[in-house]
Amino acid sequence: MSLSGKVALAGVYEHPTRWAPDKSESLIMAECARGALEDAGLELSDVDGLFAASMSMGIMGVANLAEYLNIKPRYLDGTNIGGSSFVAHVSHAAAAIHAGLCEVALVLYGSTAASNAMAIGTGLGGGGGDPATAFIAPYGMTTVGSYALIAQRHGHLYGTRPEQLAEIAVTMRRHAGLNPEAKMQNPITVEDVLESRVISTPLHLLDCCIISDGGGALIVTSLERARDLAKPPIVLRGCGEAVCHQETGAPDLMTIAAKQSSQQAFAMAGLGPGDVDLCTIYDSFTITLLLTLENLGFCKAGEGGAFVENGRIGLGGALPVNPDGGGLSSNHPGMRGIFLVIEAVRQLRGGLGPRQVEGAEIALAHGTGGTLGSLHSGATLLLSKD
Amino acid sequence: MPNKYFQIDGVATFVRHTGPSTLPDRPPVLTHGRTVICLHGAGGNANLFAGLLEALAASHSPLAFDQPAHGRSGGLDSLGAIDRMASFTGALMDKLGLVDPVLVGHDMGAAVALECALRQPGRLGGLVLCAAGDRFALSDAALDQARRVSQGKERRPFDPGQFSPETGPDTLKKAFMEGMKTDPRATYGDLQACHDWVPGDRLSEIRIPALVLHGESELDEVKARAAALAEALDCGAPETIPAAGHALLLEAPEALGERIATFLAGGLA
Repeated sequence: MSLSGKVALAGVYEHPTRWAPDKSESLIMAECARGALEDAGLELSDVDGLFAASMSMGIMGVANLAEYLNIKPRYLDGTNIGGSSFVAHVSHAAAAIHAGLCEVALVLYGSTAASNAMAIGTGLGGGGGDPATAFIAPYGMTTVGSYALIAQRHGHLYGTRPEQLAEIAVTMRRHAGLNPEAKMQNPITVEDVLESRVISTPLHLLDCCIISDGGGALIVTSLERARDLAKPPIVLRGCGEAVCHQETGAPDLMTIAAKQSSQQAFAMAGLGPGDVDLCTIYDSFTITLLLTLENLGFCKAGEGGAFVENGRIGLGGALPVNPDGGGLSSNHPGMRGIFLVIEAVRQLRGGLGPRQVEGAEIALAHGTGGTLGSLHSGATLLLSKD
Repeated sequence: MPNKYFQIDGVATFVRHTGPSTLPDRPPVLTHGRTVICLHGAGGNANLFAGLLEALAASHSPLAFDQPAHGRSGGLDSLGAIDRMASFTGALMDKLGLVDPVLVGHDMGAAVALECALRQPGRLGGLVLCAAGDRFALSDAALDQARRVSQGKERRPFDPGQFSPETGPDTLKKAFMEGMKTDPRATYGDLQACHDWVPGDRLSEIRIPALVLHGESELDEVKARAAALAEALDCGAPETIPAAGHALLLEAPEALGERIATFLAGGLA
């Protein structure tokens, strides 16, 4: 039996902080939990399912969090597949709710990546210690290095130009200028991006996401119950997950997990890319967003460069992407997936002022975890108004 | 060395202090000798005063804090004006219940200390002004460089020429690493604040005891402005800390501490 149309997002909360050296990861999560429950009109005692992941949570992490929150959930899920984890948590929560294993699921993320001076993009990346990574990591591959190779490959195969990648950064910054909580709000130009320092050719500093502190929370429950709560429910129409690695069946570096996860989500929802009014897409680097758009089916392989030109992915364009400013300009506390869901829900509820996508009925949220070019995950949600 | 956070004007403010640690939200116990508040320079943070705090702790109660957006304090942007930084310092003094403190300011922090003295003359016990002058003389090129760094168009500058030739590589490395703890955007805001600070004749209105210091290897132009400052404050000629340059807090904390302790032992207000 399909999950489509059975489960809804009833509450969301994005922590306004972008720099919180005085807070712990757990405190940020607790503050987010309070915000999302208030948004939904629920109490902490209503929560019977807890889903969480973070940059530092290890064994017993989600159990420790339950203790910190002083709750006794009957369903726990600490799935950690990188930045896409929280997009996947919504699918997992939907399945658990649909199966009667819990009724009100709380999804949490919190991080002090910035104030802890965590080296994310320039730290050694390339996956999570899997056997194949053992043959990559010793050569010094970094996260940004791997994404840069993807960008180089895209340019080699399809002629994608740095100016086209820069256009993405410029658009995200324009959106962030409309989001009073965004970390970077001053407008930038394509020239600014191209003049910023090269971090790993062809990616410049402004092609890379910012690093911030922050956190977020989601409340997932049955559509039936959500209809009785404080805010209009946002309905889960489709979901999908995937994992990709050059050693585990990835046909080429240009085919990423988004292809499989989105095909599953579209099939479940009975929708196609043409039905989507806006997207929230993981944008760890400009190339991440470009390649994801292709793999989600919004344009053909190799056409991403032309697709993002001329304001198509900006507010007012044919397919607005990340109206909050994304990870490139609003916030990126290490794992950004939860904010993709939060912004999609906020957009579908409406009333966001100048950054509102007018008439938004259907949103796609796609998270990427791990490192493109190496081991990575993808999780896609299709959401709609009730 | 104990440290803790206080909410000052809505900003989580990181304070390093001496003496015993205290319960959350309780101010540190600063009754030992004189209370000394250290004010860091542009792009700096309280940790630059770690050596000085240790040097003064035996006889006094020094503390240092990170201005908003610096080091481990909250906020993303510099307060952007010396008078706002002085106002923030006053709010911190209120929160911690500090009476007649002596302000020790380095570079921009000295300007903040002077502005505090101008705004609330009866509230301070004295001023120690390190590597500072009667104004700043930032060139347009220096400001433009800071702006370009904040936009990612240039690397952060680091000039070993501002240190004493006797300063070792470990101190240089520490100075560089401390500089990394503040976002270049905040540093740019600091430099704009310094550029816009023109106290003029107002400095001569300050009547509390003051000590002007600089490193032996300080730039000549800074030494000249320090002399002008000392003249405006009518506090005698600037004193020199040997084997130190602009970063005398890191280069010679013990010598600096000894000189400040002597000043504190003298007849302060």
